[in-house]
Amino acid sequence: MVSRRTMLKWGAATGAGLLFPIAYRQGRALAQTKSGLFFGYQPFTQPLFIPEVLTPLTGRDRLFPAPGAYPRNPGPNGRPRTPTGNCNDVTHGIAPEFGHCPEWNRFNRGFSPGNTHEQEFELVTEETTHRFVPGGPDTPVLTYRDGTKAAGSGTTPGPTIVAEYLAPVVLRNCNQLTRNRTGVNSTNHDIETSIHLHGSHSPAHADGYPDFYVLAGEARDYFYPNIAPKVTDPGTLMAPVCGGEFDTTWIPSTLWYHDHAMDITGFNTSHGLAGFYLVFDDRQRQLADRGVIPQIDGRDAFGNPLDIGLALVDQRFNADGTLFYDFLDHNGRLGNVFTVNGVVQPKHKVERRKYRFRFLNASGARIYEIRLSTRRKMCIIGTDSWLLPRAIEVESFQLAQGQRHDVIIDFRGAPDEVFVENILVQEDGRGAKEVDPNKERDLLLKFEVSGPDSVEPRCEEGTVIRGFAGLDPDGQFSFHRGEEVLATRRFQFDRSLGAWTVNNRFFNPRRADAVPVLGRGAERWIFENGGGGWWHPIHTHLEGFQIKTVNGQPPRRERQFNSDLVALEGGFEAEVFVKWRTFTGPYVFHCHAVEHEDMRMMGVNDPTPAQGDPSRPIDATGPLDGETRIDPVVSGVVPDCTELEEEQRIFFDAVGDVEKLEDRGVGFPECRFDLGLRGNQGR
Amino acid sequence: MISMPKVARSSLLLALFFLGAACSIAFSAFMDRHEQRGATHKQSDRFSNILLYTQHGQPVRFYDDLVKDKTVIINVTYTACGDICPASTAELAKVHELLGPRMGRDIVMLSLSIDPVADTPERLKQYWEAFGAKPGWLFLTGKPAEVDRLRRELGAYDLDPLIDANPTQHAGFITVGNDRTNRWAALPLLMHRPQLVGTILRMSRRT
Repeated sequence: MVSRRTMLKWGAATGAGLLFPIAYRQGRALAQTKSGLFFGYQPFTQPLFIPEVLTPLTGRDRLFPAPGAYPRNPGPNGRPRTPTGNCNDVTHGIAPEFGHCPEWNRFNRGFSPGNTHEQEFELVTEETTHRFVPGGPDTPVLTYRDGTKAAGSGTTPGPTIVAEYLAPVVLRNCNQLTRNRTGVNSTNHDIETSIHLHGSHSPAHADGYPDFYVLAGEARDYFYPNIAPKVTDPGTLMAPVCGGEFDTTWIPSTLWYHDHAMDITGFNTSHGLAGFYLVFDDRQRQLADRGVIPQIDGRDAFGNPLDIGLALVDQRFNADGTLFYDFLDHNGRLGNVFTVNGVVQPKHKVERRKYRFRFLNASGARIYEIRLSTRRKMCIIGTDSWLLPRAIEVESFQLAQGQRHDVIIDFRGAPDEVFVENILVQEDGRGAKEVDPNKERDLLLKFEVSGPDSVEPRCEEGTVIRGFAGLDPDGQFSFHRGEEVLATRRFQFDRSLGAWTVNNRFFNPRRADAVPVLGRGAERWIFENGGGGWWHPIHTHLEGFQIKTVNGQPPRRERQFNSDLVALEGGFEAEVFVKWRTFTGPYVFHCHAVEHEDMRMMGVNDPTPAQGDPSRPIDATGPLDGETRIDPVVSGVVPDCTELEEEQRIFFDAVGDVEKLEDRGVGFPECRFDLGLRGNQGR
Repeated sequence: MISMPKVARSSLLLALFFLGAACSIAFSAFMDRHEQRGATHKQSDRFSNILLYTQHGQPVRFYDDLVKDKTVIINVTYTACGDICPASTAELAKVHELLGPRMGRDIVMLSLSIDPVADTPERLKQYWEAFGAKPGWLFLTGKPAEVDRLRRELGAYDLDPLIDANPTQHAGFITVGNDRTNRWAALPLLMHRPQLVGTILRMSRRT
């Protein structure tokens, strides 16, 4: 056994080993892996951490200033008061232009007329310390903290946000990662953040656009309507914003929120900025009542919930127990210490009954193939944000970065110990190598199983989960149909001279790379991995897609329905159908290998209302057709306020003017992305 | 202007410096530096503090003289490089113009030659002059093995050995870092220029 002291000495020796570059690279982070011990931790002896539910604000605790009503300086582009570093300083509000529809808006729950206001939450981003193992070092981490709880109580994963379908939410996020104001952090600099609610159908200003920052010491309001997009009218091939039916196939369920700040997403997420966001609806309660899934608020004999999120992160540490991060490792940060919900290789007591687990790959570069040590089948009821039409039983499932699976594990008949294991071999940040079910096993989590078998229905292959027609269990799943496809776009994700590219171009947050007609039909998007051996998990914001083919073949069964991520191995090509509904852009689509993303492997998608007479026949061709859909002349977007002029001026200004550069646009009623001012391309 | 060691005025001094660099003086200085900064886990802890020569023939230590307490814009290049490197260098010259008086004050541009045998200080000086002889922009050469190690520490490498061995394959991006605040990023050099400069300025904050 290696003592902690020995490990520290060893770590210090390699830390000073710059003279031996190979040892330095491989040995900088503490090896833990299969046999070694991490700060003396005996694996599977500490309990699983289950994040608390974020407290809704009520009565006098409600947000002040109220969402959408912020004190401003006078003038056409009035800025908020000078930030003083507390949560009242909302420098980025929610835009009042959203929420006009009677059936969904900020102030009415469609199904519950008694509630006349959106649900409010306050989430603070702060640094705190965290023990990855009992008795281990206090590791500085970045956390989200319940705004009603004491400073310093932030956790990783952050509090779980529980929302209801069609019940709108305003989340106020206060960034206290400042260098020298409220909430000092130990990195010695102000850290900008941006929260993306991954898998949600939310307006652009609340989507965590990469440079719609929450600057240190400031706050931003995020508006999550918790809606599904609308059904496409088969006659006009248009999906309305107001009116029409919700496309119930796209009711969200398993979402997660995480940092998305441009240039620093990898650092922020690896240091802890992620959490679960779960949406419930009548169909899930119905499934619970029928025993298909566990009771939603149910607890087992140990007092633990029956519905548990499992965020998988492979961590990497310095010798002193601080988190290792290399800003200049452009391949991806591959860890060697496996954590679940922020603790190293935990154990969790379960009864011999069914549980619902939301598996999330929150890692930066690691891809998992998850299997139970018993090889027993697991019942997948959801993929990414959405429930499947029917349950699918698998012996293992793959999770690329950001992907989720909503899984029923039935412990009836299970032995006393069941491990969750990863059987995918991966040696560097580029991507996974292969599944090796016999040799390579990373043990992630141990279930300690006890008690007699429960009596309840089984989740089996084909068990009906969610049909298109809402509560009708026999309803059909709503596939995007080929005849709805009115445009095809191709995006090649590649590398050029050491820099990541999308269609041979570099990301510009002020230039649209796709301008779909909002709500019109469906589009075929082809994602191509240019090769070189890197995996690129491709993620779209605003809407998920339906994967038709990967390299000409159908995807795995559990990925044939709704997804928001498709994992592309080197040289692979995926064809997906997607509809861009409800909200105008800008949104990003990007590689979810966060180190690639930070190096700008992103594109901008800017769904735009149809021009002219909406009743005229839809013209599938036009200036955006085919390759020219990425025509710079027609697709540029600029804000209609004065940022561009300020950008020109600031180059000659002194230090301290940086905030002028940060986008203040979307979310300010006076400064929206102006669709009439296209054409700003720069080059 | 950034502080620089005084120019070695005679070949004797230069030779003495070389001798010192090759011996334990440099080694112990390096270890001290590393131990001193090791606990903070700065990105620059991973940089070799190697001896380099600027286009003016000045000997400089990579960390002590060029990176410490500054915002740096780093690219790898070489003067014999065909079309790609001149385009990159020309783009850097435009970025330099946009950064204006900040250049050489608290922001430094470092172009590391990865063909250090051919790229003598004299040749780098001609190259620098061909791109406007801008202040605060240093072209650097050194010992091949050390330069190659530094290149890797700066993230300018490819896991594919064939691509890695092709020196033009690292010319498409710059590394931007603020050693005071330990903020680092790599950015495509040919991205939208105002965006690039905006990011450099954001990263150059003192806080």
